[in-house]
Amino acid sequence: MAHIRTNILVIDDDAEIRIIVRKILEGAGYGFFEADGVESGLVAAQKNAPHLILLDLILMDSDGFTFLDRKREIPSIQSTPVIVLSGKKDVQAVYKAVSLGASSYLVKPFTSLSLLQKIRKALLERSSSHLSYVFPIKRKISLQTNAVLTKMSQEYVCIELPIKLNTMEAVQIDSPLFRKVNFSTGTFKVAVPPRMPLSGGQYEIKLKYIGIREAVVEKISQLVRFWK
Amino acid sequence: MKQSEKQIPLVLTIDDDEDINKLIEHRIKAMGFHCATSTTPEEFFKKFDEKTPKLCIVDMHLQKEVQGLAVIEEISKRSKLSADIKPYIVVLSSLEDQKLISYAIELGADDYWLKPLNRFYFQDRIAKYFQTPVQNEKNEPYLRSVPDEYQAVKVGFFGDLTEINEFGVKLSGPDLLTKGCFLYLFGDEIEKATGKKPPVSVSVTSNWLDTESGQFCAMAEFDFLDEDLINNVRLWISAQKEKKSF
Repeated sequence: MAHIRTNILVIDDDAEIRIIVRKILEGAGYGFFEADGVESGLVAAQKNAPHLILLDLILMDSDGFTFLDRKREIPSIQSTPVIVLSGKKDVQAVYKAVSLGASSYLVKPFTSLSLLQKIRKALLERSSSHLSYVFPIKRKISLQTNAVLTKMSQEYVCIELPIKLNTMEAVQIDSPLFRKVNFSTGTFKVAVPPRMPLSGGQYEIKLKYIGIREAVVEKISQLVRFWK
Repeated sequence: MKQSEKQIPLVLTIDDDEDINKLIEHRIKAMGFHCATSTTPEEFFKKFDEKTPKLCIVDMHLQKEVQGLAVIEEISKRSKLSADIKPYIVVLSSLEDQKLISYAIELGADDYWLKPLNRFYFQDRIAKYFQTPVQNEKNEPYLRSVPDEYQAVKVGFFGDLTEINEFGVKLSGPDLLTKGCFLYLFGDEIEKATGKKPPVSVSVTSNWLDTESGQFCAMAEFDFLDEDLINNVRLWISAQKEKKSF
């Protein structure tokens, strides 16, 4: 089964570090974006919505603390986890970065294994709070699925599909057959709701035509009389 | 009214055309049923409350406006208050409009008949509402097997979109979407969130019954190989959060 590719933004003023990190990340199957400063980092984060940010504390235009501070003010990226990468083996720097929202801290030089372990841990912690938008009021949308038209008369049709249709609302069937007989709306209503599923998880449902012209009923009647 | 007459079902109609009312009344009475007619919603509901009809025939266009929908909605509303007065609702209209038909059904109509209807069809359809299920099954035309070349169809229905997340969508409704089933999603929200012109395909990965609402829920995932779509969804969700915070 395919999985969503995890994209990581690397913000570092050192082009060499960005190349090394890129090699490690791409080798592990992650997607990669890069920036060299606070401004370009904030733009890239908002544009690409990365799953994780790797941040150096020394940047082209400012420092990583400024980035962390600014990031907290931007709702779209404020929950994105950040791992701080820095040569500063300084406890104060770690405290400050964490107080500004960094998830973890990795001291340079680091091995590819330690970097990947930090990334996996940060992503695992984040997985319970993945990006989602819950509609305040649910939205009604149209859904469509493939089905098999098995039986037909001038009053009803039977279909088999992987959905237990219990709806009291209208159901549309898109079929070349209905277009052929000029049943342009293809609208139906569930006449007999499904009971137990057939083999293969399919349900058989009987539907009645809705809004059908007499002339179309006649056409269908003429058509089906020659079928078994 | 005698006791035996009381048991004869009543059909109540509403049509702003007196001649159509007379025609319907004549045909229904010829079948041995009672029939009352009305030309305005006020008259219709006065008779509705007095006589408790078993079947209501509603013209979609009353006084050149689509007032028929409001009448259907009101009948459904009153029927919900008391199960004893729940009549069948049939729309009689010359408008062959998919959206209008769907809306009438959503509001509670049981059927939608297109004018003109000849006497035979009309009476045959009326009779179905007053026969027992056994009688109806006996008179039902034989269902024939559809030839292979016509068997593949697409079925459209409605569902409620409750959540969009970076993996897919959460849906709810009266229909049980089985695991592994492929769906195509339509609608403005889907287009805005995915940046793709609908239909957008998803596959159902889990389903459950929400005991509180009695509705079935399902999680349906996007095609993860479509990185462009996944990225668009993440950006859209982020933008919604940004909007919410202002």
